[in-house]
Amino acid sequence: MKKFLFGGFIVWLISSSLNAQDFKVSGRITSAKDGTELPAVNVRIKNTTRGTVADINGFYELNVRKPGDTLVFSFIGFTSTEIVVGQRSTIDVQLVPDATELEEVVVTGFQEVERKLFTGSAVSLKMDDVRAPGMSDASQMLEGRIAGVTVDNVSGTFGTSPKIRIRGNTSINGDNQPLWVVDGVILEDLNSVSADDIITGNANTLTASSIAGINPDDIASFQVLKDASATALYGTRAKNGVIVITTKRGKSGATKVSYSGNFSVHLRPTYNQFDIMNSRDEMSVYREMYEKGLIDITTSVKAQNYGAMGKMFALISEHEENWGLYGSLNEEFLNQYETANTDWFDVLFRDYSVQQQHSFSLTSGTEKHNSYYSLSFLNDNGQTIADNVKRYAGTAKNSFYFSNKFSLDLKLTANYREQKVPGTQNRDFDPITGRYRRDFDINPLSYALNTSRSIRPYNNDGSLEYFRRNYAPFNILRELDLNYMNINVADLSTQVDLNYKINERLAFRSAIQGRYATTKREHVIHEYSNQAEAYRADDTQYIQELNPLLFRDPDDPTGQPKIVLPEGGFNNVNTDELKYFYIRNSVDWSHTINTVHAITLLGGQEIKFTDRMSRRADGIGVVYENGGVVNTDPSMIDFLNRQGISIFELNKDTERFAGFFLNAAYAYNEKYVFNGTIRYDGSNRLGKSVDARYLPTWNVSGAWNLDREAFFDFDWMDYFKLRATYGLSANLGPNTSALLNIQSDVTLRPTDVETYLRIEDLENSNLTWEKLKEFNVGFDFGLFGNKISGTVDYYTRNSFDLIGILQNSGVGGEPYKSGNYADMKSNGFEFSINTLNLRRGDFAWTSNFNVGYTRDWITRLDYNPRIADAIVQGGAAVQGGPRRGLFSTKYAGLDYRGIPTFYDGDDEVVYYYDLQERENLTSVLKYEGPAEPRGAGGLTNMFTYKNFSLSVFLSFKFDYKIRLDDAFYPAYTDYSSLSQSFVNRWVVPGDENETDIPVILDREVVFGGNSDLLNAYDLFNKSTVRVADGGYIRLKTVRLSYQLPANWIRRIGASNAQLSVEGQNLALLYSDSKLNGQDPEFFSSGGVALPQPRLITTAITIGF
Amino acid sequence: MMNKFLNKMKKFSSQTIYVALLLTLGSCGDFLSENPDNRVELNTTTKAAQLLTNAYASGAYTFTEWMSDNVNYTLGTTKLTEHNQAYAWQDITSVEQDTPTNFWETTYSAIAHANEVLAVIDDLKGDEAERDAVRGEALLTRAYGHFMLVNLFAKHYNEQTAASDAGIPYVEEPETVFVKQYDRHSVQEVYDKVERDLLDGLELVNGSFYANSGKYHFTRNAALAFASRFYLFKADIDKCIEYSTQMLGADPGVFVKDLPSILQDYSNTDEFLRLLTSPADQSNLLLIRNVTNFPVTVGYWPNINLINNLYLVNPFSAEDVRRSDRYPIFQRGTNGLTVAKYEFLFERSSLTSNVGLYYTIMPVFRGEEVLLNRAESYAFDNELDLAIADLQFYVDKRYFEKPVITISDLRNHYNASSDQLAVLSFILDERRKEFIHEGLRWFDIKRFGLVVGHDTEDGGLIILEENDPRKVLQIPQAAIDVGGLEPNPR
Repeated sequence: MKKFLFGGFIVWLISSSLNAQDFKVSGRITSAKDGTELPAVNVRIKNTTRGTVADINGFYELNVRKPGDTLVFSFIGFTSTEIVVGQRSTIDVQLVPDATELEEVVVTGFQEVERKLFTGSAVSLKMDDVRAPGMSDASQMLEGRIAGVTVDNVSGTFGTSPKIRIRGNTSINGDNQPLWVVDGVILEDLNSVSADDIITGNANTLTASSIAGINPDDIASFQVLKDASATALYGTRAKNGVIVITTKRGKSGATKVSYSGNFSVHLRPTYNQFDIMNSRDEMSVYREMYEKGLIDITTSVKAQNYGAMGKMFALISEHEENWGLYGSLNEEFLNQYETANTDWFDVLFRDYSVQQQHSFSLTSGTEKHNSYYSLSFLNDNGQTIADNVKRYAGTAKNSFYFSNKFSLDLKLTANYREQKVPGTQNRDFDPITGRYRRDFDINPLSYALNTSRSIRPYNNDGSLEYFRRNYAPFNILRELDLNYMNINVADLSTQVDLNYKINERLAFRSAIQGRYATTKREHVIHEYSNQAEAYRADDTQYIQELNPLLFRDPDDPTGQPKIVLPEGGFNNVNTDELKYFYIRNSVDWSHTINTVHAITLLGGQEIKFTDRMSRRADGIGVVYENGGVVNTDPSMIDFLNRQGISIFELNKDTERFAGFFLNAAYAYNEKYVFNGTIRYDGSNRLGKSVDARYLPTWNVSGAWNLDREAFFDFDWMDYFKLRATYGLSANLGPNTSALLNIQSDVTLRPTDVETYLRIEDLENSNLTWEKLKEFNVGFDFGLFGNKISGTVDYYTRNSFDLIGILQNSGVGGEPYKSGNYADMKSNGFEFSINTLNLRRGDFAWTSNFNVGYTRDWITRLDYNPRIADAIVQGGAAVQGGPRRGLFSTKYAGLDYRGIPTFYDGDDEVVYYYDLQERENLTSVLKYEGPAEPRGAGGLTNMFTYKNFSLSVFLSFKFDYKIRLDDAFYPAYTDYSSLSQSFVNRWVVPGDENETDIPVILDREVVFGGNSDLLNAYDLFNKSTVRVADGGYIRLKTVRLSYQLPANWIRRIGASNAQLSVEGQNLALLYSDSKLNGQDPEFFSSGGVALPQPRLITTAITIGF
Repeated sequence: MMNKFLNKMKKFSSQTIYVALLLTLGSCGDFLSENPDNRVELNTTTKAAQLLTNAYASGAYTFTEWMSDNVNYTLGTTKLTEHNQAYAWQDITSVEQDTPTNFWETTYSAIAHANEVLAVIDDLKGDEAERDAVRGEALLTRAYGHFMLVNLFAKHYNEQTAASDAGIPYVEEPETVFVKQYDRHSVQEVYDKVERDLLDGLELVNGSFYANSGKYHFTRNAALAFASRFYLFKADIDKCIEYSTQMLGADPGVFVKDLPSILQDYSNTDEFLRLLTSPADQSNLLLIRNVTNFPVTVGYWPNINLINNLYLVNPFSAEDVRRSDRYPIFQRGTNGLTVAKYEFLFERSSLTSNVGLYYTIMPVFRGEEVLLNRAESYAFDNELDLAIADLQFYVDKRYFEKPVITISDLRNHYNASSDQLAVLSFILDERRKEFIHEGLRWFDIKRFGLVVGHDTEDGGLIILEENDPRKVLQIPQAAIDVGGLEPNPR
């Protein structure tokens, strides 16, 4: 392509100097797809040798002899178009892209291979095809675009990497995310967040992905390498597939400036999307709770959290309010709240908050060198009042052609991010109840969904109104002001690519990259925030006894629990540093004998060097109002030490990696293609054990271009290629080290505190990489002049030596060992088709449909999860089941008191399971289905008419189950919102025949000490009635764009301009009605997780 | 920022050269040998000593209380599977805290720590004397772990049958492969190896290298206490007396907890519990942090009758300090009682979380035991005066007004056929009272072949006979199924 352009440039120079004698025809050639100008298009007068080549801006000029002449416009990747000149002197042409771009090359990152000689399964996506202007993170754009690639956008908060699976999972406990490669070099994550951690909503999920730093406008294309052959050159890191990003390059020719900008507005969620009671209904439930003795004046004064009713009681007890008539409730007081019906979405989410992105790029160049520079700015004011982000990114790319033999590319990229999100702690799992909990969670979405609508943000006089949370006064608006995180990411990298042609057949290439990235997360907890005030909540003796944040000093046994944070708040800082160095040297040799035998050899070596350092430091007693002076109470340190909580942490992680590779390809007459790769890799991650650290991987593949066979010569068949591959790839398992792993710690004892060492893992000299053998067969076809083209693949995969936990005799000292003990099989198919459905004059309708389905099942795994682990939203790994299967408690109906009951393993009706149990898991629980989607795909319809184009993109997933969010508890407070289904709750005996909504328990039951009955509510949330089908169809993108006519934009000196309006995530066209608004793709985990926003974006692209 | 970056780049370029050099030399060895994370390399004696800090099992063996005659059927408590199984002398299938499996696993883990140290100790940098001390502690912890395991999971040592009685695997080297096969050694082999390690360790151990009080490590006194118990269990009376005497020295009374004065001093229960397990108390010889729910979960406890029979009846008709008004005692369920012994400590998983682990400080060797061991040995030797002299030190601090022990009082009280039997009966009773809730009663039940009866919920009675095979705990299920160890007969 580059070569071609360069040639075109020269021809243009020549053609413009031709004499004009006949009449002149000129015009502009653009792509029908996106309206961009097409440079270097060949324009020829039919049946003559005369012609020209369009310039860099797509303009052409040609002398024509007679009006009957026919112009033929041809360009690689586009259908040739013939136009009779007639009397016109201006002929603007739109070229329609070929349904498949046959001549395209597959960019593997190591080499570029012509599509027809490529034997693997790979899909390329042009950025122009998937670009959604409102999306700021390139990785999110892949959802539904490629068969076999599943993208779950588990959170819409900027920086969260989506969960991406190429052909499903290959590891049970380890990483399943694909490898990202940018311009031939592996893009390391900023910090590692494990596969299961992506959905936690913890703050570190925002700073894991490096892709978030890339300006989408710099990306030219994606290449997704799916099978073992396509990824073979990546050897031991390719098990999960590879996504190669190619960024834009400079073009020789006149200096060109282009600008693209977009403005998006977020649409806030509304209550009618969710299953939440209004305040009047809530108040009636609270009255029932009052009648049952669950809320009264004694419970309210010692309540950790309270809402309207608790506030009334608290005020009565402080003699600031009166009882109602005859000691009844103060109806006048409650009435204010009963009618409040607070719309928390309105309070916490921004209306029409604007996100804007601006991107400038400039290319320029001569024969000897060219450049590409870009600068971009993203400013998102945020979906909520508590989040916003700014990203600055810059790229400078220069290519130097010193001679025909020697060229050099230099690239410098830098990006910087400033982000603000609500303050959050990491979540904890409580194995007793099977619930996740997150202390001091102020996530606006969680708050809106979980907070009673009878609570008000403002008093009648407009001032902030406080209720109680964590024994201290709380107002969400104030808390979001005073409790937040500042995130800063700076990422710098520089890369040099050398190309040296030793001779016609032999070339040496080298890529060297150095990168430094630093991430800082600062959690500001202001002294007036609820989170800090909670440490000082000791108003009454009840609270003193209950508040876990007060310190009962063991050395002062008679003393009252005391405050350990007398002054100030916290300043908790996490920093992560990444140092990365990469070098690859390769030699390739290619030779074609008699134009029949094409042989290519590629050999080389690469080295990777990654150092990570992370630090956590908690500042305690920081008084922000006094300029950040720190007053740490010594008893706070004592308090924390006695609970084994450290205030400083330092972690180091280094990776050293070396690999050697050799690839050979042979093609006979472009008909039969054979390809083979061997790689030999070593890593320090397996420890010093020399046996384990090296692994050879290999692959063989072949392709047969059937259309080149005489017997397969059909008019309607444009091309047909059959492919097959078989090979071994690998990946490092989780926490793999063959070496003895000794970690340091501090003893937790009342006295005699000392540093000690403990064995984390014993030596495991048998440890090796997680491996995958894959067989893939598929074909690519094009029919009827490429009006229909597509790809079909079938694969079967055998993942073995996976890291699993094996229980052993315990005699060696480690009763549960991680080792290469688990196996998993999977198979699946992929299908994608592009069609040109209709073409009439200026109107064209094209479609793309793709679907992938993959099924995995664990064939060997010794060790079952606990019941508590198997019933959570994310599911668990059990032999015979998928990598993550969802299990439910077997609901057996409500009992005569309205309390839920369950069947145990022997079909006895019980209220309680031992959640710690691992045995009999499959007989106690019901297997619901996979917790991760097996099938996914997308459908795009594109309509173009003259300068308009409209695209409608649907994405869908199917075949998986989802656990509904917890909604039922043994005790409710007047702080929490309630599900609308509470209207149908059990109230009187007999109701158990009508409803599944459990009773609000009586005080005697709640405090009666029979914990089994209370646990029944936890089990109910995880039961067979609380499961929904996860399948959905989402109207992901609707986009209308308009290419401004050439004669308009010329007036302002521009060469092209385009306007578009787009809607993102507009609607769920189908989802299980049981979800009641819960987004199947989104894990409502609180913390920093927010759903993907609904966005309306207007965008402009203009080039000069 | 830019400067910083340039500096980094400089660093990179030197690394480039380094990398290039490596390649030309054709050796990736060193490059790939870089430690992947902040793990610690065991390369100094100081680090070896730190590793031994974790060579003491966190698992508790107090579950033996539920099998012993120290408990009754307790009403109104939540009974976990392991409580019920232990109480009925069934094989305990649960694996969490306070189960035989948990004790097995944590003890072997502790042994693994000792073995890692012993495997490298000769090559470590450090002071010779310190190296010896570290080796000594490692040998002692290894011996102690195996000793407790063999006494729980095998028959009690019997000179006649020990060589053929199945013991437990005695592990002497680190495990380095993913799956390793182990076999059970005979009780005799285990005892021989314990004895060897114990005596070697005793020779080398040196408390002066410990920071703090040293009570969380094997001091020489703790090692001697271990020897005292070892030889008592082995019925080697002379050696038991020898090592006990070495430990007790001239003034054995200082090693008996001064309960009367502790009871006088304490201001609240928490403080009382802390004083009981304080490293400063001379009677506490070895303290281990146990992760256990034993003090907080309620399953089976002694009822009021049992407690009263134990503490209100004695040969002197004196008031037992342990049943006096000041001694804290808690109610469990509707009819259970707990004598205060343990501090309730809690490790939260995070600051505001109510999830975490309960733990307590467990004095696994106490001076009282050594004194009672020696008294028992004297009594077996029929040196009854010496036995009574030892017991007097003990009685002085357990009964108000320090009653003087006389053989005749004991004979009358126990209605015994001989003086020796009367003294032994008294010792056995005092051991039971002294170590209630501490798990040691079970070993006496095994040693003396005592019969245990448990009342059941429906008012029945179940009996554990003298030579009942169920007195030998079953090997953990995983060790039988996966590890291939021979199960104990049932």
